[in-house]
Amino acid sequence: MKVDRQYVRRPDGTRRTALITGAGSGIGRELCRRYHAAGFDLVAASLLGSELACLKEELDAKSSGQHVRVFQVDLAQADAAQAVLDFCDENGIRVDVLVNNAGFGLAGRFVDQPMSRLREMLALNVVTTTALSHAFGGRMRQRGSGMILNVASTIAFQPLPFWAVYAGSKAYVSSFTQALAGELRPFGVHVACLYPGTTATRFLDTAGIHKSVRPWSVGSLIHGAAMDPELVAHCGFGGLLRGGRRIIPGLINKLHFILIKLIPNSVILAVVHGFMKRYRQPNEERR
Amino acid sequence: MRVFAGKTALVTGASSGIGAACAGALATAGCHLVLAARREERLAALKEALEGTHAIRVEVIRADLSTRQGCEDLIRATDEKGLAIDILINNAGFGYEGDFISQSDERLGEMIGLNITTLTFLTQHFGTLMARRHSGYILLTSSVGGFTPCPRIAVYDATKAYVLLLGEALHHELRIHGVTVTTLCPGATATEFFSVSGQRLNALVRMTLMSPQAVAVKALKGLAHGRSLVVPGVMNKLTVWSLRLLPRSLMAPVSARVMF
Repeated sequence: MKVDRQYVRRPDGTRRTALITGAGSGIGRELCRRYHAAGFDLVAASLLGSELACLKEELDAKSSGQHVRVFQVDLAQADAAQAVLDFCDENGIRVDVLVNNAGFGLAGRFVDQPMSRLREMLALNVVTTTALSHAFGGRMRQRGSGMILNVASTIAFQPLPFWAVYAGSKAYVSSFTQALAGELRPFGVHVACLYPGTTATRFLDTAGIHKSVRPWSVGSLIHGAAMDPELVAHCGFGGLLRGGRRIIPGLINKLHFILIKLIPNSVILAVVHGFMKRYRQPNEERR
Repeated sequence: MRVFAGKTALVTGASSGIGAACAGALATAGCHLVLAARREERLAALKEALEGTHAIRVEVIRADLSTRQGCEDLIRATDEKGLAIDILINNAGFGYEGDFISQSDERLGEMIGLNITTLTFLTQHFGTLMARRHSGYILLTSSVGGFTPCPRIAVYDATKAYVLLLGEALHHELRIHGVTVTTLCPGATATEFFSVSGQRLNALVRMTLMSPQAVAVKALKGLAHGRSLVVPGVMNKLTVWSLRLLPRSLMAPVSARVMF
């Protein structure tokens, strides 16, 4: 995808830098590839150093001058945002595009979900997203330019039993991002929210939704309906550049957004409850 | 509310506002109380007043629920005192008004810690115990602001969007365990909320202003009747209803216009 030079280069000719969290796999990794291909310098932040090393090797091999820096960090820790900020400052990196993509979900009965895991999920999905938006958003506002893309989910459009805390966390991201977009727009900072639906990444397995040998089991169906993360990243990248505030990749997800308002909550809840009955067993720790 | 007689309710943020009003209404219904907040003197005064007027027991627990330590202290204290909680009123919360960037990281962290994290863990801890007994009531305090994002109240409204989605999902999940989860969505209420947040109320918002006592009664009646959502007051109901009709892309700009 050919991108206008003004998006990729600053007025002084240097490359713009995109900072992407959860860059090691899934949508984050695809976004790194997308931004890199368009000519951006990158800061890829993620939990697993091995994934980051692979990614850097892959991107450096195709580089035409782009600088790729990797930062291994547990973004679910309380001081994670400060660590990312410090890393950028120490390396003299000015972030032009911030993508808050890191996050995970947990499916299962609320009363059975381990508190420590829920804490991690809230710390990552809610606190770190807010803290990074705060830190980098502040600098962008001062400069009068910049972009922030926060990743929510179509799960934020309706209440979902057995996904209660995760859905709540994405409703937070959605609401927060739309409000922030309104606040920062007069300062030349563009903020948008991406709403992927089910996407073919590690998300489903981490959450406890697994494919089984039976092709028509709920787990297999959900995996089967999952969207390609490359396509989600393509939509996110393009949507942000085009100035959209609410970026919904794929026709099915767009239809979901439009129709959900017309369907009463009671119907949604009954359908989901039926679907998720199998996941009423407590989550087990996977290898 | 007679269904609450003889039971024990834990009320967070009980030192003022809707929390204190819920405590008063529950006391009138004959419910024993466990009051949690930061301001011990206020809790002590409330305990004295309620025990003096009603034939109930009131325990007071001082805790800063915006921190993990405070949340754990509260849970430990209820365990140590052998208190079986039948009703959980998750009322503690605060807001701010102003641009997001100029808020301090600390303040935002406290707000998320209180409005989201502590609320979630108290709900899980006591909800699990209630599910085992196959009976219980949990009230979650969201807000009309949970239905719409609003510039200048970005994080607060987002925390309330979280509570709204959590509450409606848990209402359904916990119903089969005999536990009622009700989400309360007050609008502007005459409490200390606005002196803490720093917001000045314009004429439009003043029109919707309710007393904390009226909100508390509506909330507890809804809880007693097993409702999923309680939006107290005609003006607030109208607000929520009109928000549902509004295209989502207009929500943030319209809210900003109306509120400020």
